[in-house]
Formats: sequence, C-alpha cells, structure tokens
Amino acid sequence: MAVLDGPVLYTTRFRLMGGDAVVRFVDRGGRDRAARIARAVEAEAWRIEAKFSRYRPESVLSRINAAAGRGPVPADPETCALVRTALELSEFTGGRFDPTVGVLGRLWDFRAGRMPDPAAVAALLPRVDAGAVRVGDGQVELAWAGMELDLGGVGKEYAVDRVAELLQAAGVASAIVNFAGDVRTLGRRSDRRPWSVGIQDPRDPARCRFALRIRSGAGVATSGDYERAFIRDGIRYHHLLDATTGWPARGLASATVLAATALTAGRLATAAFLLGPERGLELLRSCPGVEGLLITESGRSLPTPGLARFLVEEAFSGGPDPASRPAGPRPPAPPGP
Amino acid sequence: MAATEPRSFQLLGRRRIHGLSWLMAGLGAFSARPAQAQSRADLLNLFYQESGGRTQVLESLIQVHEDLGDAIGVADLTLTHDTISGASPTGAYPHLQVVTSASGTSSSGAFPLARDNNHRNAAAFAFGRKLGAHLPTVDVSYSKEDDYVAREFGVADAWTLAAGRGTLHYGLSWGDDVSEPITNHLHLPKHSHSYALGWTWILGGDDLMDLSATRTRLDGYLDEPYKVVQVGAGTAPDHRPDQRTRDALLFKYGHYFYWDAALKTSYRFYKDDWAVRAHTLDLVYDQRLGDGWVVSPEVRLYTQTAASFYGDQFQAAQAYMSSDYRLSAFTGLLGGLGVSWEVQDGLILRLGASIEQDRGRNRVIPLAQGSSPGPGARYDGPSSSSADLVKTSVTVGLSWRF
Repeated sequence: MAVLDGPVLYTTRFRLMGGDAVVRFVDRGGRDRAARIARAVEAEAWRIEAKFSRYRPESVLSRINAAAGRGPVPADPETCALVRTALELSEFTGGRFDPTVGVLGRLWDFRAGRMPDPAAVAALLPRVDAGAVRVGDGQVELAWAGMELDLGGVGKEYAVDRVAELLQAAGVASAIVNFAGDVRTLGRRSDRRPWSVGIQDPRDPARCRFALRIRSGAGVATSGDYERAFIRDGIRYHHLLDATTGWPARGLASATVLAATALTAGRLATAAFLLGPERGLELLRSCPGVEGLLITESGRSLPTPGLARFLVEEAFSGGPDPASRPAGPRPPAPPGP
Repeated sequence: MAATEPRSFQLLGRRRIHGLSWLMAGLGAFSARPAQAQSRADLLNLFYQESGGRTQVLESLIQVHEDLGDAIGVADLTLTHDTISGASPTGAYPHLQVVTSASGTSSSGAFPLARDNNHRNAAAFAFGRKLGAHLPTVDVSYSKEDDYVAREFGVADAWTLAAGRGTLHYGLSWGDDVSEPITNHLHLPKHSHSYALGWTWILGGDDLMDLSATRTRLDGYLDEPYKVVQVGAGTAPDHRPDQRTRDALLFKYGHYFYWDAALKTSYRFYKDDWAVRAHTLDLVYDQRLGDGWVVSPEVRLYTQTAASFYGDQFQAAQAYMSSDYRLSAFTGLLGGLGVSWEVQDGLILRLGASIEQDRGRNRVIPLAQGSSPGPGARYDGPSSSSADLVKTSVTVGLSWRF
C-alpha cells in the first residue's frame, strides 16, 4: 500500500497554554515518521510553555518575576530575544501594550464578571512600566518590586513559529500550525488547494464570518474582545487592557492580521487592536507584506486594500435546525463517489 | 444502458465471436452485448463486511432477463433485499481510550461509532426493443429503506453504426429520493438528473473498447443526517452544499488472448464540485480452464482527494462541514478472485471473494486531552483515520441461461 499512499495529511492536537493546539502537516514518510514529527512538535511547544509560563513557578519567567526589584536574573538568548520583542511591541503601540500589564489583570475576574475598583487600578498603574524592564548581557531585570512580566502577548505566536521551523527542518513543506487561533502555514495543501483559516465572528465566536485562503507560507493572528470578557451595563469588558489607562481598549471587536510569521501577525494584531480602528488600519496599511481585517465594536469590517486576494465571506447558512438532527444510527453507503 | 447486437457480428469467425462475446460480457456496461441475446435468470447472494465491527451487509438479488423476440423486445427485472447491520463513524473526533500500565499511561484513538441496522428492498425493471439500428430502452427503479426512499426513471438508446463495429450509446435519467431520518421524521427530498454518452468500438476480432462520460446533478438534501462534526469542544451536525455536480469519464478496454483468456482493463476519472477527485484502475483477467471452469482474478486501485469542506475537526462553525470519511482523502487496494463453473449446459455456479484495504490520507495522531509536559497521558500508537478499513465480500450466485 505504501506505493499508493501519496501525500498524507496528519493531524495532531494537544493542550497548550490553556488552549487547543492543532498541527496538520503533509508527509510521505509513513506513519512512524509522522508520529515522531508529532511528538517533536508537541515537545517543542511544551518546552516553550514550560519556559515562559507565568503560571509555572519553575519557569524562567517566574524566576524573573520573583526577582523583581532585587536585581538581574541570568537569561539565555532565547529569553532575552522574546523579552526584547515584547518591549518593541510596547514602543510600537506608544505604551498601550505593555508586557508588565499582568499586575492589572489580577484585579479582574472575567469568569465572575467582576470589575476592579478604579482606585485599585490607579494604584497599580505605576507598576505597569515597560521602561523598567532591562534586557542585556544575558540577563533580564525588573527594576521595581511587585512588577510582573508577561510574555503571553508574544509567547504563543513565538511557539507557533518555532514549531513551523521545526516542521520545515524535518522536511515538511506543507503544514498549518494553529495554537488557539494563532496560525502559521507552510506551502499549500497536498491537493494544491489553499489553506483555509476561518476568522471568527467576534459577536458569535462559534461561527466564522470570513475565511482567509492562503496559498503559501504565512502567519495569521487575531486579537479580539470576545475571549475572557463580560458585559456590564451594556459595556463589554475584556482582557486586552490599554496599559496607558489600565482599562480595556475601545473601538474594535477584533483585529486579524496576515503577515510573514505568526509572531509578526500577532504583534500587529495586538497593536492594531489597542490603537483602535483608524490608527490600527493606518498601521497595517503602512507595513509592507501585511494585510489585515479590523471589525469594529459596531460590526463594521475594515480590511486593508490587499486583503481581498485572500478573503472569502463565509455566509454561514446553518442548514436545518441542528437540535432536530442529533447523532444516531446511520444506514451505510459504500465509500467513494 | 441499453444493449444491441452488432449486425456484423455474425460475419466474424467462430473463435473471434467467442472472444468478443466473452469480452463484452465481462466489460459490463458495454452496449454491444450479444450475451443478452438469450434469456437468463440469476440468483446472487452477497456478504459484505467491514473491519472493526463496522458495517455488514447481506444482500440477496434475483435478476431475470427475458428475450421476447424482435417483435416484442427484451425485459429485465431485478429484485434486491439488503440487511444492513453494524456501526459507522459518527464523524466525531477520536475517543481517547486511556490505558495505565507500569511504564506509564498511554491512550489510543478510536473513532466514535453509531449503531446501524436497516433493511433495503429494491426493484428495477427495464424494457428495450430493437428499432432498426437503434435499441431504445426505458427503465424504472424503486428502493426503500427504513428512512430512505429512492425512485429513478431512465431512457437510453444504443445506436449501432459503422457496419456494426461501433455503438453510440446515450441516455438520461431522473431520480427522486426522500430521506426521513428516524431522529426527526422530516421529509427531506433530493433530486438527481444524469446524462450519459458513450462509444463502443470493436477493434478487430480480439479487442474491444468503450469510452463513456456521465454527468449527474444532485439537488436537495445532501447532508448525512446522522453524522456530526467536532466544532471546538462540542459537536454540530454534518452540513453540505445542497447541490453537487458529479462528472465521470470511464475508459474500458478488453483483449482476448488465443489461449482462451481475456484481460479487461478499466480506468475511471471522477470529479465533482465539492473538490473530490478520484481515480480507479481495475484489471480483471479471465482464464478458461476447461470443463466449464473459469477463474477471474481481479486487482483494483482507488484513490480520492478530500472534499473542500472535509475536516476531522473545526475550530469554529463554517458554512459547510463534514467529517464523513467517505469525503476524506483515501486510497484503496482490492484483490479478488472469481470462479465460475458451468455445472451443466446453461447452468453456471459463480463464487467470488474480495478483500479491500482502504487507507485514509487524512490521519489523526491524537494525544490525551489535558496532557501536558510531565507525567500526563500520552498517545503512543500510530496515527488513525476513520477511512482505515478492511472490507471483505463473498458472493455466491447461480445463473441459468435458457
């Protein structure tokens, strides 16, 4: 049968950073090789999670945070590079993104719908200060006690790109890596069709409003106000905090960016979301090789001019009432057309 | 498709008539089929089984072909009864069956199955009458399952040309099906229109070829009502476009060897607007052994691509979604052996068996939910696909020619 197999699309799925990770790759090397690649992919993704998770006391990041205000902590080049990337994003957004905004996040309880006391936000805001993060000479230092560095804004996208590079190094030319919505593609599908990346409807996240058709390697990321959010008195409160105010950024419901890598797409999606509709769209337009789609809080779509080449409207039709069609026994039909 | 007898057939030498007749009979849908120039009755029983406790089918079929003479025509009646049991994949993502052992915790991926019991009764009738160089036919069929009714009507013609060496065959058919899922008793119609055009050509005395094309247009309810897809952490119903255009091109070639054998080769290319592309190559070799025995080994290769909306799981709902393995990419290899024995003049016993291995090309390498670095449950087995199947079939039949 091996001679007949042709390219096979393998899927592996696992939990990563509190979300669902799905990696699909096309390979012709047989099932054992595919399983080895899948294991290597998972191991690399988990390595990055273990290293940069702020929820794991043994992580590099936890050690840096534990030493806040007490001097520099030795850090390897990978850690230093990722921290620099987060700081660049902070500069890029005029401080709206800040990798130390995590201290404010602790005041919110999005599951319970609990808002922080404005006085508490104001009191903690001075501890949000990217300028107090120092990187260099193989070490990272948080200048003030009580500060917390969070690489969540870049870590997942970095993991996506690392896994894509690992797949490429293993000889895989066609793949799609999706870590909870942060996506990187390699090549195109084995049947020559483009990869399809759905863009969730920010007001009905169970459905896709648009899809991107990607015919070569690219990164896609979305920042949205619909995850870890609640509505109070008609106002949506979400986890994407503007570090200059300490409160959720306003104007956009989601920002999706298509770029060369997931890290670039993720940084620009975050930046565009925090900057709002006008400045966000202006930013995306000014970046060569970048396309994006912003959806405003009122539901208006703001695409960059070149996005039309990739965009397909997903006009969800739904079909008959799903509730009336539960799973059950099925008369068989022979396979094949 | 209708049948006719080439007028020049009687001009051919005895051995050649024998060889062509054999080729025509074996190549199936050829319109020039002298084998139908006599009456016959066939009784056939088929047992079909899929591996892993999946579908089993027991089929009984009676077919009567009556040649009522040129003044009246030829008639075919086919009655079929199927008993279907077993299970088929629901479309949901593989279960992870966790096993703990001294060396740690491992798991295996098993695709969720839904039990499946059904009966199907079908009847088909066809009538044709020779009108000069034409053999027009009409056919009707009706089939009923517990939750599905199919009706079809067709007209066709076979037009003998080129002094009997060629036959142009063409036809139209209309189908009108209704699905009534037992879970909701909705009345869900599906309509089909098919067009067929083909050319059969006799190449000397030992070779025969046929090239035909069909287009089928389906409209209506094309979902699988009992299948689901995994969307995020939950499931949603399988949902497909309500139109499908299916095109197939079929090439058949038969060659008769002087040592009383024939090789029948067919290649079929299929494509539809759901982005499924399929190739089928089939080789059957018939060898007559004397005393009325014929053995017929067969090899068939099949491969198809996945439908554009196929996925083993979806992050979010899309317009169309299906995890039906029949719409996935897979490859199949079939090996079979048929034996027929003419017990006495006109009475033939037929036995056949085949085994087919299908291998999915959309494969899942699952990992236990909740796994994380450290001593979590891991999936250590090979990748799996709901299209991975071994299908076996056994047929026992009796033909009586009179």
